Amino acid sequence: MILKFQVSLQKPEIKLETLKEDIKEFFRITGWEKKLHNAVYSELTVFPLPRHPAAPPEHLKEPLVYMRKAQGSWEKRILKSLNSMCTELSIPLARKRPVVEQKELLNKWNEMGTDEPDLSLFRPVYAPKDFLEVLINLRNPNYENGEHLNFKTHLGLIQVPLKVKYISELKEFFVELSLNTGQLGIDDATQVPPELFENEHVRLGQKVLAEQDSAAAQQYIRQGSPTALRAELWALILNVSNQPEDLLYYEQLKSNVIQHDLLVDSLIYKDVKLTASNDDYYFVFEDYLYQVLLCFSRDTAVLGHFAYNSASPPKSYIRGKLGMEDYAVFYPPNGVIPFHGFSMYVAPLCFLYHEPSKLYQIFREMYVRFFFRLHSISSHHSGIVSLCLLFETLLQTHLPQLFYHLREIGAQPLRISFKWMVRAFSGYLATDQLLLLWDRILGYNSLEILAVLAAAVFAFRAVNLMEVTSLAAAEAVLADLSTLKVMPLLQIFLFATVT
Amino acid sequence: MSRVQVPCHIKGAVALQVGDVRTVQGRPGVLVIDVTFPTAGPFELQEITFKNYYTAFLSIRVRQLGSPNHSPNKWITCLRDYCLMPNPHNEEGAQEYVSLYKHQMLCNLEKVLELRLILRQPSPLWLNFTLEELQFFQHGPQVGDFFLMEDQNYQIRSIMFVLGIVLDYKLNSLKEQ
Repeated sequence: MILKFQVSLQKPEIKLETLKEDIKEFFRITGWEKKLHNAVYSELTVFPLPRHPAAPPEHLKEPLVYMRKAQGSWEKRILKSLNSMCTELSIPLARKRPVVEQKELLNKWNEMGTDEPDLSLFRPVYAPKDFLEVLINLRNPNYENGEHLNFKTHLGLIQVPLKVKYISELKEFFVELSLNTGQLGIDDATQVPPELFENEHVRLGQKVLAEQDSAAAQQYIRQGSPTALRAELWALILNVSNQPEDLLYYEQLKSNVIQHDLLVDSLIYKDVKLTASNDDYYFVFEDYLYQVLLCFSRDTAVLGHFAYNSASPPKSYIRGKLGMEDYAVFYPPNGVIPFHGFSMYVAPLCFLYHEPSKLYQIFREMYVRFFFRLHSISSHHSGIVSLCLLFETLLQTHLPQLFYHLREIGAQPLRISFKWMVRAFSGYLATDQLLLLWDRILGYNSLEILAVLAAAVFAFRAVNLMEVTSLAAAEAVLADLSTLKVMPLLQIFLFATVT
Repeated sequence: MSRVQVPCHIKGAVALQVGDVRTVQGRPGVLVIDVTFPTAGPFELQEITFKNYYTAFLSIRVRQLGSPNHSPNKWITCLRDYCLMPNPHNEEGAQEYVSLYKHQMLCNLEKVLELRLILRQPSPLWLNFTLEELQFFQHGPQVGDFFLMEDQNYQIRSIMFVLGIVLDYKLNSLKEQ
């Protein structure tokens, strides 16, 4: 092939007119065309549309001014908490490790879980319930927030009038989940003969992987991914490949971890010990979690996503140079301060990827596409505020008696479901069900399915919930989701509920 | 196409309400903003940009310089009920930046004297609504052959660049042989 191309180049006249076609042909033959397609598709999916020329960059992050303000004050609070912890414990935000310590860490790199540093004085910077309180108090100053009930009074906890989809719009949006379309998670159950759906679906998946087409993979995965193909499909959709430079990049991050110690590292340790290590499914991956999260905090490439994230990375100044922009650095280097439960975003991925550099890249891509929206205040339709409002609206519209009852006993449903949505159900569902759910998040490029699932869970346990008389009892009914099957719940709620 | 901002004088918004403003309950749902161009003579309007603030529908009426033997200048509607917020009760589109061009208008805007923007917000949930950062543009200086040449230049340069890659590749593969 290369020879053929060289021969064609050695013609006495390289015509300008055919050059364009020759190059196109060359791209097609070598497979670079596909890679270009995938790269362009990935850019289109991740980045929002170009903004109006008069709009300032903050407008791209978040168009609504009051939400920007709310996010700004929330960030100030987090930073204040971090700084006060820093001064209380007299630990620097960052320090260079002595050579002896560096060697030690390098030796222990694959078993950092055995380390038992004293973390008793550390506490997580914030937990999801603190964030929920901020969202509950979110108000639009131009909105009628009076005490008088009107036709649009929000009976739930969220009081901002964002646009959320109605169930008819959701049915259209999630059309591939409908009753007459095959699904993995339903139609691959043992009682169903595989010839009906499963075999064909697996064959199709292999073809999609052979073609290496991101867009096709994203469409395919809406009906679920076979377990054997999932790792490769996710890598294809997220446009993550295993180039040598990616491996090199990860090694570079690793050496950054070895050389410098950040305060944020202790927060990560604490979080992993409190959450993933105590989980029956994920405790085996403890070491992987450290390897990924410690490198993640030092990855400045993550700063790129703040262009479309309503949050801004915290700035810190070199000692003694407060206010001088030349001495400003982002802290942590990736601009993301972990909160209680952050490590649960990584844990399920450990089932799919065993090579740390690949696992790291997949996690980073998932974070800058989806997970960041779950802990920043924004009006985006996949942002946590819209998800909460969608959940409450669905519940009110389709289970009004249940909603009213729970409200009367002081058990607002969002107080229970918030923690599920913030963690994208990680740690609450069984892992195979969680991965089926995350298949759909990738397939639809939207987190709205989390709100729909939360409402579907409430619908499923409605009978028991109608009998409880307190928030604690309601929490107890919904404490254990590990036996739930995600896809049947979603299908019934979206397509089979009689309203 | 380049554009030049036209200096304008924007009068304060006037609410249109039936009955006495003081005694009637409820907020006005219609506002009128008058825009005059005292320093610029009749000009051809190219583009209007603004930042929306909770306005749901926009209509624009224009008064143009009529021809000398016609009756005095009349007001014509050049935009009718342009939707800025798909659902007036939701935040969607509430604070967006918008541009309106002359091809979207119902009539020619060749000799604009004055404009009247009629804002409507039927939802009673919002306390205020208006348009901010209003700007009006007319045609800029004509672009001539200079740009055409630039275009060809760019084509040639890009072809050279690609050729460079191809030749480079060829060189590398020759080295490997």
